[in-house]
Amino acid sequence: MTTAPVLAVDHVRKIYAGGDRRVEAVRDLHFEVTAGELVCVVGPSGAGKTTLLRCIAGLLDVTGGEVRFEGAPIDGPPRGMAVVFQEYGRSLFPWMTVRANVELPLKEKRVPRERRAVLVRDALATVGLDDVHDAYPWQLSGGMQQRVAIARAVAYGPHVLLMDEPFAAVDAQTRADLEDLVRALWSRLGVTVLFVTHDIDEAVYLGQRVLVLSNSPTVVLEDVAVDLPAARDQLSTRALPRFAELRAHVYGLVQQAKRGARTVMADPTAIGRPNVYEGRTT
Amino acid sequence: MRRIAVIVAVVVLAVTAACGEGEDDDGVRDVTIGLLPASVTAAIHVGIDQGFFEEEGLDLSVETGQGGAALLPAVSSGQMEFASSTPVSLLLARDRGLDVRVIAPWTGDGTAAEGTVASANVVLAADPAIRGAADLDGRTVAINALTSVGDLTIREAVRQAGGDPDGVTFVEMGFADMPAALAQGNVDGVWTAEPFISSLIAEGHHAVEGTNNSDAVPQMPTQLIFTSGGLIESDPELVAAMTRALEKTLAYVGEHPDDVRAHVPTVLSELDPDIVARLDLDVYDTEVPRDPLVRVGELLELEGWIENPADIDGLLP
Amino acid sequence: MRLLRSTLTAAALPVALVTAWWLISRGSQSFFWPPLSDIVAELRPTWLGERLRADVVPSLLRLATGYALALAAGILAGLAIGLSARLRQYCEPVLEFCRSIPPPVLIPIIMLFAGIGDQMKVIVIVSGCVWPVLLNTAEGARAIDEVLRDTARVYRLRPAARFRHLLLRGASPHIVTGARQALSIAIILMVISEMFAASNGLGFATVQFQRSFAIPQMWSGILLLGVIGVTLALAFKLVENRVLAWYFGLRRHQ
Repeated sequence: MTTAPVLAVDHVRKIYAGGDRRVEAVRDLHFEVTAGELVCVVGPSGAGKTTLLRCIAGLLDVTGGEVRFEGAPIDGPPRGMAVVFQEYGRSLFPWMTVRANVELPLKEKRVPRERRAVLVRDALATVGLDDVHDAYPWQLSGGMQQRVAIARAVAYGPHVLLMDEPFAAVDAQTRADLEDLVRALWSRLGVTVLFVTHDIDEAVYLGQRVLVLSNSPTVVLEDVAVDLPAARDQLSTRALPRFAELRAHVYGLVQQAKRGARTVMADPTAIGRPNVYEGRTT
Repeated sequence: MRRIAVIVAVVVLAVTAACGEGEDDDGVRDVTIGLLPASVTAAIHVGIDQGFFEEEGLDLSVETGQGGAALLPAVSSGQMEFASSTPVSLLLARDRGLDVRVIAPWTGDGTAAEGTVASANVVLAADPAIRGAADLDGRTVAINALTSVGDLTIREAVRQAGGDPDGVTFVEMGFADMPAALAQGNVDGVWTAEPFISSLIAEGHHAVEGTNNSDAVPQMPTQLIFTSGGLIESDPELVAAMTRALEKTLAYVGEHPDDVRAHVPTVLSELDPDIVARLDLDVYDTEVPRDPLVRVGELLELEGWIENPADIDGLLP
Repeated sequence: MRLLRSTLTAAALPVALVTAWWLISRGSQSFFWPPLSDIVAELRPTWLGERLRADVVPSLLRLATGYALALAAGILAGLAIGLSARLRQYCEPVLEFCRSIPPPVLIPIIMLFAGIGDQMKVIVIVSGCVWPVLLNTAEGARAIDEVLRDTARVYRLRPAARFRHLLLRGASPHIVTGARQALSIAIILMVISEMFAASNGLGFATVQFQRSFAIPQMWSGILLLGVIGVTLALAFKLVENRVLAWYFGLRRHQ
């Protein structure tokens, strides 16, 4: 690829220190995301997925290495990055209407009033919420609340959209709808998406690449390229043999990760690139 | 149902027992008198020591409570049989329809004998420009209670000196808080009594001329012993016995001031012994003076604090 | 209909008590327990004339000033303490000490530096009201959701917006609880502060009535204080319903 990475995670290490206890959560994470990519991150629970995302978002300081966003090291949440959290019910301001929730970040960006109105209306229309502008978030269903959070992120006009297991807490049907919404937004807006999930199907269905993380202390076990057609469909894509192969492969990796693997073992079903960075840490 | 009736009966008995004057087998009556926490209260202990109350078949206990109006409800409701209060409070109470009656004198006007310290109240000031009562016009004076002896006599003193009594602002505060308020300049004068007078004068403050109680109302009694009209009617023997015991006490203490002085620490344990030694305690009246009360009544009417002419005859025994 | 019924329910006991008082005290000859009818008859002539301007208004102004200052100081300090674990460690023992001192015992000391005027009385009110506001606010600030804080950071809310939209609103259920406690303390301290070195005020006038044996007027003052308390509590409830509408709605939906 010729384009410069929009996001560079450069040998990031994270140690939580509290009192005399030091817990190494992330040992050595190293990968890049190119502008316009949709990259999914999977790993067993406790793999430090959320730690990684918080480091990238600038919410957490790294202990070693650095995260660069558009070439500049991150210290604190950068402009041009938006996050959709898993806990939609806790990430919307319950004392604000849907409209005010979407509008607030724009006000803080000093977007003029008329422009804000347009952005808010468009963003809510994009996520399919035309008629709930004046409702309060808690008056909406879980799926609708997460749509509001997505609309807020979209209206903000980010270059990179971080999503932290955004659909973990919604029912299956809503989840499928929201997955398609993410794909649609990504292809329409050309935004770079880093999508963290614990769901292997979801990762393979959504991503162009799937980063499989090891157990904590975390390294990247493998960077799997998803060579499925760009147009995805809940029925036909999931029915493709290649989907099943990729799914099986990622599944195998996650199983290895659960057993504590730090490097990829020889595996007849291995496809995609082996993790070239792995050797540095062991 | 029966049980409730029993409980009610027990409670009623208990309350009655607590309220009624206990009478011992030997005919001695338990009686309570409410007095100020002041050095003059020592005199009652002298009377008890001398057996004047026992002779009348009274077992007297002394309660010290806040002065002014506070003891009147207690006497009126029968919680205590007797108490002392100022002529101003007593005349105000009678004017409002509270049946209180004086049975005996207590403390007199307290004019200082030569070389001793007056027990009467006087205004002390820091500003040398405040020399006489008229200079209080436009100033602020602290008194221990509003609508009482302090403002009545100071207003009269200012009036007599040719000033405008309405020009004086009165604020209420405890005697103990007054020295600090004067030092801070929060007030221009404080109407106070011993032991504060001595210490304030020692700090360089001075008494304002013409502001002694006796300047406004000569020979004004500062405290009188009273009871309720109800008790006089229901138990005249008790009141008569108490009156006789008080008269004996007053006659005795007038001649034995050192006995009183010896009892001052009983009432005011924290008082400096030096001040106790210098206190002028020879301030007890042996009869209730009528003329000063008439004068107080006139002033009350002049100030508009009472609606009808003062009921002196109803108040006096 | 439901509103009517809840109003009736709320009013039932007070009406019953007042009626009982009226009936029991009717024809009372007791000097200190005059008939309620006499007390009510005194309300208008006693308080609505000259005393409204001379006593009632100054009292209410001091109450409002002291309460407002206590709210402002309590909320600001409470947010700071709630947000900083270190500050909390430093302040906790001092706070416990301060809030266990009854303000009336401080009055002579307050008089030393604040004089005996309105300033002193306002400080007395503040010194008692600030603690429930402060401690509740600190608790509220601690309770603000972490995800919401992250959200505010990610979307780069500036300090003013963080204060207004995240901290103040996020802590508002706790702040309101503290403010409600502070309101009744404020009324009590308004009266108490007027018992020291006062020359006007509602509490002052009521005590003077008691001193001069104007018993029906004294009772009318007590009654008026009660009415003011009830009125302020109702006004508080109205404000609370507006400010916390989202919170009550949120709780109903959970």
